[in-house]
Amino acid sequence: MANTQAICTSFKNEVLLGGHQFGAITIVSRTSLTAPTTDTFKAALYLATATLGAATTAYSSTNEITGTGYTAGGVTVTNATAPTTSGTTAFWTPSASFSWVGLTQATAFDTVLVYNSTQSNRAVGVYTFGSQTVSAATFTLTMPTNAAGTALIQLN
Amino acid sequence: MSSPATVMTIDGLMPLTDLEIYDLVKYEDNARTVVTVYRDKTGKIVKKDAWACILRPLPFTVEGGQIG
Repeated sequence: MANTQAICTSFKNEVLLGGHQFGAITIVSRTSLTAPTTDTFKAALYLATATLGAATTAYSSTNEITGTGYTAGGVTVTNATAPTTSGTTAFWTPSASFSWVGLTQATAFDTVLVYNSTQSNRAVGVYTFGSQTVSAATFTLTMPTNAAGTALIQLN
Repeated sequence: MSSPATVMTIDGLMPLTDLEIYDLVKYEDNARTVVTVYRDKTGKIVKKDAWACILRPLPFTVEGGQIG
């Protein structure tokens, strides 16, 4: 039986859980070091003309949509299911779709930013979809299946 | 006699029977989108719903370096 070099799957999961800290980062207190609380994540919509991507570090209202029925900052992400693992992949997906009701947005939008509103609005991920305009709408971003290979965030 | 079902549009509540309703389905690189378009009798779009299903997750690989 040989050893195999690998990043431990449990570590990937614990990164998603905030269980490791290799350097000093300024964070908003999670109440207790031994029983920290879960951060709140939010989802904000952006115009198709915005330039969000890998270099995005935090939420900004610049180029966020401003249509009727939309509140700056977006909606709170439902996070009822903690990160978990399958095989060698750790993953997490919001436990409900993102939804806006009564939304009218005449200027095209095509991006949602998921960010950590507890921790100074730090960016988590940028997701694009087909450019949309909506009128008096229900706009729903349906989340993928929470599983290795499909989850919204995966550490492989 | 019951009144026809209505839907909220940019012009207020309108009977569904007065609207032409159809879906547009598109596959993009990262998502499948379904847009439901509601047009009144003049052809004006009075309501447009959209669903975007994110198809492609964001994986990131955690690599271990070599020692030595």
